Amino acid sequence: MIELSNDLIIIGTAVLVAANCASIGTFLVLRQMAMMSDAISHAILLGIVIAVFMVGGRETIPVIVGGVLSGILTVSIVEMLYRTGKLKKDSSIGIVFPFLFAIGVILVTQAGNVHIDAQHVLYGSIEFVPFDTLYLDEINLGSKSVWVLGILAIANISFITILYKELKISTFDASVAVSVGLMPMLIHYLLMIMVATTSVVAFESVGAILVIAFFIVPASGAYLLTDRLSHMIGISVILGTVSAIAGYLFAILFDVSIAGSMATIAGAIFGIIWVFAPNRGLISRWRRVSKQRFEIDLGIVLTYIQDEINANRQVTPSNLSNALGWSIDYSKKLSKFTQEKKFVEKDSKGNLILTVLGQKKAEYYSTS
Amino acid sequence: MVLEEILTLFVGIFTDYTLRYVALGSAILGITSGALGCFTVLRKQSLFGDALSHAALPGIGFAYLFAGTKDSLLLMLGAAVFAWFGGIITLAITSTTRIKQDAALGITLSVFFGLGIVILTYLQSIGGASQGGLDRFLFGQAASLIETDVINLGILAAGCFVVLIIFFKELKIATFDSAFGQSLGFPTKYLSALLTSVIVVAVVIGLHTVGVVLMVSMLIAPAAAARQWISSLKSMLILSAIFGGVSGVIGSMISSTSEGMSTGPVIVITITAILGISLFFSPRNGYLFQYIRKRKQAQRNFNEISTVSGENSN
Repeated sequence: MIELSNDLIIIGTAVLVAANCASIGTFLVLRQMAMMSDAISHAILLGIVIAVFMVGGRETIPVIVGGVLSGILTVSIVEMLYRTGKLKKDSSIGIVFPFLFAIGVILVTQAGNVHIDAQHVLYGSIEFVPFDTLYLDEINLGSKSVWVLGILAIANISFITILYKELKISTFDASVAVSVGLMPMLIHYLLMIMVATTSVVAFESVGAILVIAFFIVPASGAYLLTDRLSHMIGISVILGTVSAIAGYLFAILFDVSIAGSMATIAGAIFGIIWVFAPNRGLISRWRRVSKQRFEIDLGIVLTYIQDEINANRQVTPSNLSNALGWSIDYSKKLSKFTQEKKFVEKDSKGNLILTVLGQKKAEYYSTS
Repeated sequence: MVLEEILTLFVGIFTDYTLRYVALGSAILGITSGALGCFTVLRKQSLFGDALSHAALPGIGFAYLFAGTKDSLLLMLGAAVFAWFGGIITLAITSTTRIKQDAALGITLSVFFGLGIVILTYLQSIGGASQGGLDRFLFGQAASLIETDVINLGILAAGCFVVLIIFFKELKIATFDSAFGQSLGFPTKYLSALLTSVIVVAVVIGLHTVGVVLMVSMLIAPAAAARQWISSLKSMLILSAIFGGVSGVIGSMISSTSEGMSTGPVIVITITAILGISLFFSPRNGYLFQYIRKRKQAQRNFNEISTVSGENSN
């Protein structure tokens, strides 16, 4: 068997976690169920601990089954609570998951033989992943988590590709999904099962809270970059992968928590996208808004001059700022712009008058 | 036997020095978060508290990194600044992009928490054991509360209540009908900021006792429980504060009986139990009485139908 270095195994694990979470996370962001993944990722602790108690060790399959069952239980309890109308949806989420998580934490701290540290529950222990190897008939098959995550990746890819159309329709228009017989509730629960499974598998390496960073942050970044679902999934996976690798390097450089820096880098990447995204970023948004404002102000200036001339009053560049309540600089900039565009010209006394082009423009603004 | 043990525990609150402060600190948290939580629940911002409390974690780390002391007031200040910052980021994401509130909350809580873990592990790597004690903010460690901590918490909580009493009417309007409030000339924007600030203070108080992870429960559960019994805001605030305070005291007492049981989880389980009882047994709209009423109604309907059909057959 090829001996991979520990660094490569950790990076491989992180990339697989990121890719798995980011692809499923796309649907969570679009369906506005981000906080449900928060609830699931916390609540699986209880199922994992109970599974460990029952089996007597951290066998992979019982742990996954236990975690997924408690994840589904959480979703069902939350939905049951808010269906009765006594609690709002977000209140139900905020009550159910801390409760189940609290029981899990107490079980973990009370039972010494679980080998789960209460803090690692929160941010995982990806550092120790390479030491957990898989054996088949005494043959070393390499890192266990890479195997498990690889299988999960295949499951997630087949889930998304096979049910792509169903997922898409039920995400964007649930009522259409019902009318064409797609059973959105079934899709909903299947998605929740995939979220729970992904959370359980990722739990060991990145913990209950940082798994949310991989579910939500890359997908939200991708949401600002594209309008197509398939592109969004792809971009989300790429962003997740980049944050995983960059986060690992950052962690090694400063000797800090690996999972923590991956989440931080993912946040930083999201921040960059938020500011610089071509159409939906803060800068282009600010440009668009100020351009629109300039356009509106141009209309105000032209109609104002026209009104004043019709009323036989004179307009000078200096009384423009007084009359319209703008700063002197801004009024000068506007009147200069209008003169450059030949909407306005100065007559012999220095008063502003409209050109033929400017009159047309002013009429356009006052009628539309 | 059991009764005797409970009795000793209660006596312990008055005689045992440590337990007294633990119970007092937890009670202060419960009362404050119980009262303030009503506003987050009624404003449909329940999970906002979750994001705020997670966002506070890097603040604790930074405060320690720059000040170098574990002075609880300073750590609380750092936590408050970051919690506020986290709240602003969340609002900014939802107001400037098409990302919805749930994803914005998820982004804030996970990224800030990740940053917090990075700083805590950085402190660990540069300072060896000196960092030990900061990670108690994850699940809360009420057992570490000392007299000065409790006095600080008490002052903060008193400040919150003074604000609450002075601005009660304004906050009420901003909660239930902020558009109407705006039309009356109330500065609803500032009132929202004020409310967020007092919730930040409640979160900061909670960091010592229940920790960042479970704090959300302390804001939501007492308010949701009180809502089952009462519909007037003032009575709901008072009942919610009582629920919070009681669960703080009971939880800290239970956790003091056994070694290594974090206070936070026990308090959370206690308050959720109170909520469960309220959901089932509240006379107005509890599950139990709803069920009984439904059965009675069904019986009445059945009787009516049978008398009608009985008359027809004659």
